Amino acid sequence: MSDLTPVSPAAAPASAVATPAPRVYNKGFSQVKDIFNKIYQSRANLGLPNPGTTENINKEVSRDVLLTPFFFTGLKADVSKSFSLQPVFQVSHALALGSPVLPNYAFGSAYANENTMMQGNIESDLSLTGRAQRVWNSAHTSRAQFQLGDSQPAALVQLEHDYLGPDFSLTLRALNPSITSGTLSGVYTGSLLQSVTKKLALGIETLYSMPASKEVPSDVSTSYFARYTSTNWIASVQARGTGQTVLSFYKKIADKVEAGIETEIGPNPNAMLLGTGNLIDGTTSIGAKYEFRQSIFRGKIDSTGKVSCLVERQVLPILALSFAGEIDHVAKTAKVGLGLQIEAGSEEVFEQQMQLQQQMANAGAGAGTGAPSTPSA
Amino acid sequence: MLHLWHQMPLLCAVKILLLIIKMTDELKERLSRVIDTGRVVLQYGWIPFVVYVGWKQSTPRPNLLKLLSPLPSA
Repeated sequence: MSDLTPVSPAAAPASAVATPAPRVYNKGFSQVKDIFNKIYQSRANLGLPNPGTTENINKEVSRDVLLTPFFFTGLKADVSKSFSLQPVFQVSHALALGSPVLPNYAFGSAYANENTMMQGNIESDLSLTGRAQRVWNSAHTSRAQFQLGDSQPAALVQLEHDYLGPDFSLTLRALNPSITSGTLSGVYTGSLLQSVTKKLALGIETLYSMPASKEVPSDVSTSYFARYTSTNWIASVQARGTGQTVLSFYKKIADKVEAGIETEIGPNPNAMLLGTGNLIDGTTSIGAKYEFRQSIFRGKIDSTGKVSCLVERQVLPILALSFAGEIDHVAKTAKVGLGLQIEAGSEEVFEQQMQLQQQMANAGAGAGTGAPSTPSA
Repeated sequence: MLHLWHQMPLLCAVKILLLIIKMTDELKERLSRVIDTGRVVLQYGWIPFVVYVGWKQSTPRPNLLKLLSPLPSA
């Protein structure tokens, strides 16, 4: 920042008396700049960490400990082939049977080098899901996500930019931005998460939706976030603009054991539209994750009477099996899923991977464990 | 806040965007046709593009049969 400041008159050499004095753009401006620098300095002295983004406010619970994002039903088989590790280049084929959400066949490809990531998945009905990411420097990252296809109700394009400051994160997001309707339309989100103390972070997110047609009114909603990160536990609160409140608590119980609770309370849409059920509805899920040497076990119980589990086991270095099961004790139904994952890369790539894993294991042992901010590592 | 001025291209882009908003019907129609074509190109071209970039950058370059068949390559 200091390299951009114009030369101040005090810094000018004494011999400069004969020559015209260095230009001072504006005295007021330099004063404002001084104040700004002082604030910046004192803020840097606090040593606040970057709190992560609002999107990841409860990722330890909702995306790692709870099995919801990994759950599947029916039979599935994934074959992935790696052709290179630096840069990463991988092609995958996914087959599924008897699942209401998974497509019968999907072809995927992924490419990633140090600062660019591109990934795509095309399903048997020719609908495409794609992602691209560009890391400009340690602070700025741009992302694009798209879902295009005839089976989808509408094409979905999302552009995102993250700015990770020293003690805050700013995210700007545009969903389906368009100007063809005559005005700017789409859903625009801006979110900010700021570290207040070394452990506490507070955040705000504002969503502004501008529909393409003039009849539908535009909408604004604001959400608030708080996240407290302690040595081995994390608690977070989200008050969403839609009226939902999400509380989550994560705890690292032992080196390989993690547990999490998530409670969601909010207005019940069924009660408003159909007049059934309570006006305010809530669900609580309790989950745990055990990491064994060859397998990962996840279990979950929730307040609607569902008990579910997911086991992933690495049988061979190239073969992994997974089992997913859920029993709904209220509705008296059960779901089962069985999966097979094959890594069919070439031998050179496999050797490279082993070396890389060895390096990572060594680095992990050196860095030590127990930091809850990177439990997935 | 000084570093924001490095992003002048971004500000210019926003300005251009605001100008386009006040455009004629003909231009609007043409633009929406271009966007529709772009969408189709992206839908069918994205996967080949990613595969091509990956193929070009990986050493040794795998052959097409290895690249696309789901069978393990020996």
